[in-house]
Amino acid sequence: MPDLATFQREMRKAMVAGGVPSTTLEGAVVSDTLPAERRIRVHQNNYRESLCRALMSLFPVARVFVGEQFIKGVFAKYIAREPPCEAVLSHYGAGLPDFLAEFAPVCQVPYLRDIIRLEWAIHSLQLVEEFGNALSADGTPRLSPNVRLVDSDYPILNLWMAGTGQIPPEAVSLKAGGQCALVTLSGGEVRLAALDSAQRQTALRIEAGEPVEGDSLTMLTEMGAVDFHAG
Amino acid sequence: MAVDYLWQSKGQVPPVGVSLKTEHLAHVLNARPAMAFFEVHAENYMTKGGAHHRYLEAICEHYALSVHGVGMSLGSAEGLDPAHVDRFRGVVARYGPVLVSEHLAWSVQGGTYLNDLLPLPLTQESLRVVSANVSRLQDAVGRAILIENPSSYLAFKASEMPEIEFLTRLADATGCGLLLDVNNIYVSARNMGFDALGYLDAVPAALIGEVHLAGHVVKDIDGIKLRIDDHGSRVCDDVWGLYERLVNRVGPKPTLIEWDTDVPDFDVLEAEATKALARMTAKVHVHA
Repeated sequence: MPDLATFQREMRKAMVAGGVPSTTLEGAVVSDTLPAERRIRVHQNNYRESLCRALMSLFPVARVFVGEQFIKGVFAKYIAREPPCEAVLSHYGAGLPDFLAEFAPVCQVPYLRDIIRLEWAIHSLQLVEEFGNALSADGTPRLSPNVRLVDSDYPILNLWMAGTGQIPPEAVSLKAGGQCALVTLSGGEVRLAALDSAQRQTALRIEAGEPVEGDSLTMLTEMGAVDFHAG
Repeated sequence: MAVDYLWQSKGQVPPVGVSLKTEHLAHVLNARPAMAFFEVHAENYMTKGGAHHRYLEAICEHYALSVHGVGMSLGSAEGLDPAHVDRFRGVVARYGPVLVSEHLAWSVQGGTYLNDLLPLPLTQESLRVVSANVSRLQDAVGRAILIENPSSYLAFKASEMPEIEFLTRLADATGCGLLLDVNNIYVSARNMGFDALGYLDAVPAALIGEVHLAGHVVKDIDGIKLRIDDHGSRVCDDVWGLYERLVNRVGPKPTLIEWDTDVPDFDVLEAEATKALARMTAKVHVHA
């Protein structure tokens, strides 16, 4: 039997990589009615399946669009590539949009990544403290910490509404062009709104730290999207 | 550290509680079911905000709370993650639970969280590692905690002592108490081929600060039946039998019905809690 640190290192490798465990690990485990490899596999399965369940619960709308089997396959690849680094699983999944950007099989569902971004934006706002209207130190407008912007080449908000059953699927056309979703935490509730073209441009410029002014800025401020030093 | 892991509710009836799941938060707050306490997983309350905190704060105005950690990795040879200890301490400080518990297991190595309660070889080395980690956590939260016996699916050639001896020595070394999961004893005994009654009867009564009861699933692996502790069904008759035997020997102990997967309507959990209460109450009457 290796020392505890070595055993745990070998076990971690077996869990993350899956497949046949190292001879060091297998040799440390009792083989009886079941061989050691099959007993170790119970934990390998627990690891993958429990993380998959956690991601399934975070991204229910994505599953609606691609089906359970496909999304489980996506999550399995993601879990293998990017295992969680902490026990707070509500933080796990933030890297999924970046992973999907380089994951070829999802090219047939080009809006899936943006659906995932929108679901993560909603989820992440459900877990943060709601801030009051803070004023930026130098008077520059900035996006409120209570909001997330999800800008998409696809009608992302309409797709999300179809995925949640709020509008019929036939009401959504990909030819309608992109939408920019403003996700806002307000009064303890997360709300979604589609920005019009001018609001979108203004919001994106604020996000980029560029100077802005005009009616769109006023409207975004009224929507709680912007912390603005009026003086 | 002083023994402060023991808790009895103020009522005459011994405390029985159930897992507090997201699906039931609104129901519990609105219907106020007769329940002595609820238990939450610490890791689900390690975010700064969210409606779940608001619900739990409101529920804690009416019920006692048990905080149960699932990700501390007390068996890690590399020690505890300071950030996770800090988060855990924050949850305990925020809610002031009557019971605080974790597992005899590990789940973190090299910065990776493995999201399972992984087994330890029951060796002197492991005992030193777990003792140091439990002491560190107890120092951080400023109180003794309860350590839960795990469900086992494998054993190590190098193990030097039975699990209950390991846990008892851990309690001696650190002042921690035991969270005795009766279903885990049953699952482990059936999976590993040891005598559940022998394990149960060897548990020192004074160390038991809480009892867990839960359901498990039976899977067929290459023709061998393996029991998996999934907390997704009612407590089975064999486990109720073990629980009755335990209560008859050690008397009433705070008891929790755990349910984490395929969560049913609250009344199912309530019915299971009623069964536990009936067994404890019967014990009280016997000794009256």
